[in-house]
Amino acid sequence: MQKHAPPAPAAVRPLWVIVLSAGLIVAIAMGLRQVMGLYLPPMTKELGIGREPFSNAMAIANLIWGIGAVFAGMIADRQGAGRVVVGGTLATMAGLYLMYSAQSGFDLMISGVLLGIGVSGTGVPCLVGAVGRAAPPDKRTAAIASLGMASGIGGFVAFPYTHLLMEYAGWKASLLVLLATTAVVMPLAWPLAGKPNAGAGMIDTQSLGGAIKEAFTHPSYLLLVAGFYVCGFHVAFYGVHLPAFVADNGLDGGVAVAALTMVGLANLAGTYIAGQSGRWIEKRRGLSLIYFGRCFVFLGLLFLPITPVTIITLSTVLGFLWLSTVPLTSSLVATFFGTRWMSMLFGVVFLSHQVGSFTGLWMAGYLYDQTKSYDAMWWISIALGLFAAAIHWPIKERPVARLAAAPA
Amino acid sequence: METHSQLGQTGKRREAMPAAVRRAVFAGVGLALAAALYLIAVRGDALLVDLSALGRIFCF
Repeated sequence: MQKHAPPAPAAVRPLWVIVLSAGLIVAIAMGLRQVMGLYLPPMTKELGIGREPFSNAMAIANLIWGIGAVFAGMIADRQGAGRVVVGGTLATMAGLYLMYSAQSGFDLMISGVLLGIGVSGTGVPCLVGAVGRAAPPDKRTAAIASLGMASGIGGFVAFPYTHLLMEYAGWKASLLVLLATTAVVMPLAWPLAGKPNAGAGMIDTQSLGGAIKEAFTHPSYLLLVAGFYVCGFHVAFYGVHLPAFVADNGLDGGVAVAALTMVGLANLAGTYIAGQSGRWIEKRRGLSLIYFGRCFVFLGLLFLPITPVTIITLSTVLGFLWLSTVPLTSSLVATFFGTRWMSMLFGVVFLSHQVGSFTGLWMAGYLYDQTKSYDAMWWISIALGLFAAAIHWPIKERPVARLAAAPA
Repeated sequence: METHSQLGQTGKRREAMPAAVRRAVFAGVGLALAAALYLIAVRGDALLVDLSALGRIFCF
């Protein structure tokens, strides 16, 4: 049975307009999200509240982001990404204003909740469905990779700019500038507006419950969820603890800055390559190789002499393997189940990533306190990398029977 | 009438970015990245103060 519906704005706009709009939204949203840590010292000092309330607010924001991505994706898949982006933008603006006018730790908590909701509605997981639906299957991975690159660029650019802004305008005024910058996202939601139109027969009329049941009984999807946990574990641990590792080895802090900068730059190239890789390698194999490759980086940090050259070189290699997982993982979700519930189902995968991030950060701190060394964490990272490489290999990269049986 | 997902599946949508827009996007992104790199290079000492925050930059 064919369902006919008037095309939504997103359905009639050129693909590049949708990718460009979604990319700008993601760049701004991820940039804002990344700079929040900069406000820790001035805010805690001015409000006299200690670091815990601020840290709690940011932890709440991350937690809500992970959980909210599932629900934001669900709404975006049903109602269209445009509304979710507008809602997320309003929540972000409210969160930033509350941060600006905060008088207590409780205000910061509420701000964290709003910022978490905001990034749920404007981040990669929410928009991956809109782009995935707009792109033809052969261009889907590359189109999603553009979102990943935009996310990387946003984070890369936002940090030094905000740092400069805070120095010259003060932290309070800089928050107002960020608030105004966020407002730019509103008109960018227009090309993504409108309900995703249904396509042919059962492909597009699948219910929410049916999609959830189908996904959670699909072995390859569950392997993907487990594998993305490892991605979160690796990137959070490395990104946050590298400076401490560098300092422990008696190197200048500038080495960590250079290394993380190289991670950010190589990440852009790696994500682009991953987006193009569908032409010569299956996505599941690409993912296996990425996780396997990360193991060599961690082995290098264990066994090579730790010098500035080693750290920067290994960080560059790791950068190539950083978020190149995103386009491959999200495209696999579409390969399995189609694009009807893509944002929601990728949101579940992303939640696993966030749990991995949390675990990586917590475990690194705990084990370091116990052993005064990161060696155990490197070994755990290697073991998890091998585990992820192994579980991606047997993934069956084909649509579920429901899609395979549907008329073209 | 062709629907959203059908457009995606058949690839009939206009996909290619106009050359002028592509050039503008590349120029904008290149400029932003170059300026960010410059800021990181010249403000390295100041950035070190916030190294823990820097560590969170690239976490997804």
